[in-house]
Amino acid sequence: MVTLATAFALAWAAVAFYAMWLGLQQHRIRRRLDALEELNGEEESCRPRSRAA
Amino acid sequence: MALSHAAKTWWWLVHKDLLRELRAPRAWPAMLILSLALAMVISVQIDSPSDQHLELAGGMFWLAAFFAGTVALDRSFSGEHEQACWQGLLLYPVGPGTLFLAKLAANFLAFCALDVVLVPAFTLLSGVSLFAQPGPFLATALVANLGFSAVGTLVSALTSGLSQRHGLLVLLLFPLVLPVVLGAVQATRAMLVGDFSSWWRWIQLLSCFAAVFVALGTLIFDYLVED
Amino acid sequence: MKRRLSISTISILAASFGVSALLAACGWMIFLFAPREITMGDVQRIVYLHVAVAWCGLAGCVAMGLTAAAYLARRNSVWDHWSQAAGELGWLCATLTLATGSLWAHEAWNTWWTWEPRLTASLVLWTVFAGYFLVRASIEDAQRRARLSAVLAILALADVPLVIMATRWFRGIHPVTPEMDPRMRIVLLISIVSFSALFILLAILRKEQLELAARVLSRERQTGVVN
Repeated sequence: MVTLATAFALAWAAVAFYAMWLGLQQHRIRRRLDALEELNGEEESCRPRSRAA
Repeated sequence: MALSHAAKTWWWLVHKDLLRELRAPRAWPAMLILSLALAMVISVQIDSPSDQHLELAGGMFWLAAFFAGTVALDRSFSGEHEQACWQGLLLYPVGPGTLFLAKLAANFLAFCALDVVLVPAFTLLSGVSLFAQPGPFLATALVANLGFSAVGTLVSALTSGLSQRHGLLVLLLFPLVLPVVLGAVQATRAMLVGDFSSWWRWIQLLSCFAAVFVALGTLIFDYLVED
Repeated sequence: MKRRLSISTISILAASFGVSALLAACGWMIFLFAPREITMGDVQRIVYLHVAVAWCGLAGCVAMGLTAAAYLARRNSVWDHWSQAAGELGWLCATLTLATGSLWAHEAWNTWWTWEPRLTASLVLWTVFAGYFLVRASIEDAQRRARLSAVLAILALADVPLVIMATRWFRGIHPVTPEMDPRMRIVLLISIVSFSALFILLAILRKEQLELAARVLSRERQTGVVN
């Protein structure tokens, strides 16, 4: 019974860990995207007015 | 016409590698000495009752041979990389398939030379005569070496440009060549105990392995060496 | 830069719900529907998990190899992302196969490990996956990384049938489907389908994530944030 429970617990833990790791990667990508958008926003405001048209 | 040109180029490339090895030995001495050292260490460990010798001898021999052989594989492409000749090699008017077959032949010959040295040494140290049946043993050695060289050449080419190539070569190689190791060991064991139907089955597996990877290597080598 | 997903959030949620429901049903069937085995008792139920993840591991290896071949043919990085996703899930499944197989072996044969053909082949598969990721980790340039790991994936794919053949012949075991109660067969099938659905969903999510990461990286390069 212990062996059976261990096997299923391991499987569940492995999949859960992978899913959490995916979530962490997604979070990091989001932060990089946010940084990019912030940078774009700064570029927009620094653009000379003569070129704006 | 194209075939004879390819064959000539192939021979020229093999000849170049062999000549380089003869003039400035890098791989072969280390490989041969390592094999003798392994044979010594292993023979000491199997100093067991003689009825088990036949069972274990094949395995021990091939273990020593394949591990020592990785030295030759490791140096297979490193010469070109270290001396900045890699671009020169790729500029030769030769197809990548021919290049693969040439490197394969050079490694194959290295393995055969290794066996020539290791068989008598092993026979002396372990008391088991591997060459008692020369025909079957030669056949086993030839197909096993061919399969091992095919995969070894490909993995060596793959890892040659990487930073951790030494460790990666062995790590990548041995799982892939498990059929060769198993096949060579089991074929030798079957040969030594006289079970020739079993021996023939293993030879078929070894031949199949060699055929698959020589063909695959010829097709795929292009992707390994392109810039 | 638009934060669009190429698959809508709704379809991902729907798929996740579907897979969860399938797994719940599978769990119910494994523990309550499948009959208790005579010899081993309840521990035998590990088989439903073990066979499912073993199948997924093998499928992951095949998918990794086929998508790698597609990458080499088309040179579209999408195939490389599929290959990496398949490799990650395949490695996860190979690890679970070894763990559950080991637990089962301990109950059935009173040993944690045996050179039984399937366990041996699983170990080789696991090591091959590990090697694939080591190679990927040691190359910075995305295209070179994709190319070299693709070649390795194809070598692994060609190797797997030979490993299975060799390990089966080694033990002299002729594959015979064991006599199974029809209810057990149904549960086994459902288990395989459920776990396949789970891993396919995870692979799709991972591949989308890798695509997004690649787009972000190229945007960062354009903006000069990274080199």
